[in-house]
Amino acid sequence: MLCRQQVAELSEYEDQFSAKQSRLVVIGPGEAVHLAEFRKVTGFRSELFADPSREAYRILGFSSGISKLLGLKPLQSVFSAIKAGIRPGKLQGSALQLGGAAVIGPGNELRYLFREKQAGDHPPVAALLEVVSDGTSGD
Amino acid sequence: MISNIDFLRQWAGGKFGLNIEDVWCRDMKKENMEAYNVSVEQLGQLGVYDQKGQKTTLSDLWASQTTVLVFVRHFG
Repeated sequence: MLCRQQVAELSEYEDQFSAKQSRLVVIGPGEAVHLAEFRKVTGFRSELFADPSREAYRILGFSSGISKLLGLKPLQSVFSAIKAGIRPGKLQGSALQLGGAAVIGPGNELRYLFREKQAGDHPPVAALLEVVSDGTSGD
Repeated sequence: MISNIDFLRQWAGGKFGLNIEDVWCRDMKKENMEAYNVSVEQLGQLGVYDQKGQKTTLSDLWASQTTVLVFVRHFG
């Protein structure tokens, strides 16, 4: 549910990323067969991929574990999502996996890395836009 | 209705005159970049799959363009 809310909110900024000549990609740990439904419910128009092995998550050091799902923040995020009209779907992927964000390129330059510490601890869009702005001469 | 980040933004701004995203995000960026050793080369060799099941090598995504990769917890 929180992931649906996260990507639905992210979709509102797709044009801003494009305007900064950057590419916006969402990757999830489930199977590719679930991407069409996820795109439909989130309204996300940019590139969407599946990493069923979660190998990218491992390399980037994204945490996994039950303790990351407990606490006040995840609970607040769930209530916030419900208030926003987001309803949970059938879980596709790993319930214990946390995510994050990376800004890379052009080439193999890692420019930003955000690792979620708890469920609902999403990468701030403002920070992502700031990083891609650093790489554009016009802004 | 107010989201968590909006609440935090208003609280920090009203109480301390801070732009919470400026302080928090820049610190987090600096902290992460200095503290974590990630092999982008190794990451770039991995394959991910689109909704047609077509495989894309990650390094192709960022070869010629700044790419923002957001990793979600699951598709549910």
